[in-house]
Amino acid sequence: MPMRTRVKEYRARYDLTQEELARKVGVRRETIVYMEAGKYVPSLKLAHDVAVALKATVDELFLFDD
Amino acid sequence: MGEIKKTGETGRLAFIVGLAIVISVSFIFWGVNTLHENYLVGICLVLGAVAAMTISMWIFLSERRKIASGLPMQDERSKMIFQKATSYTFYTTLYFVLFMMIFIDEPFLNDRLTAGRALEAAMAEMILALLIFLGYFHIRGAPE
Repeated sequence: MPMRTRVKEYRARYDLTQEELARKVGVRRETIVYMEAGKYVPSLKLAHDVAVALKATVDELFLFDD
Repeated sequence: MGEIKKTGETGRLAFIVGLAIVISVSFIFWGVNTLHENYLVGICLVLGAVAAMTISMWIFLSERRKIASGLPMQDERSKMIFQKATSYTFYTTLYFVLFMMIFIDEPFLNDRLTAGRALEAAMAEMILALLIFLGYFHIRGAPE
């Protein structure tokens, strides 16, 4: 299922680098890179962690094209 | 929120790289012994083992830096990639062995495909397939 994310936009809003976000949510930097590019669909737990770290909701960050 | 389990990460990394080095050294000895029988195969084994050792050391140094900076060695994506790559390797090896079983007694091979060689070929295929699938899924992003 095609996925778009607004993680990059929100990350820029809080002036966070990919590595900083990765460290906050406890994943490798490559995972953030692929997630931002829409090439990796994160687990519900990771999506929730990212949303918490970026002070947003999962719905706002991850958009699925039906 | 995700927590980074640093405890044991460096130890696990050292174990994996140490194991890779031990295997590489065994391959070097095997290669040196093979030099008397088949020069080309021996040289290939030694060069391959040296390359594997160099890559292992490079991985160790870069991963150690990442762990020190607070990033985990493994996460959900890398675990998923490894699981997918191993299952694909399993199926590939299954077909490969089946293929060899069909052709092992064929007269045109002239008894060159002995059981030992078949085992060596299966092992080499397994390692190669795993590396290829790991690389493929890593580049693609992640398996769906």
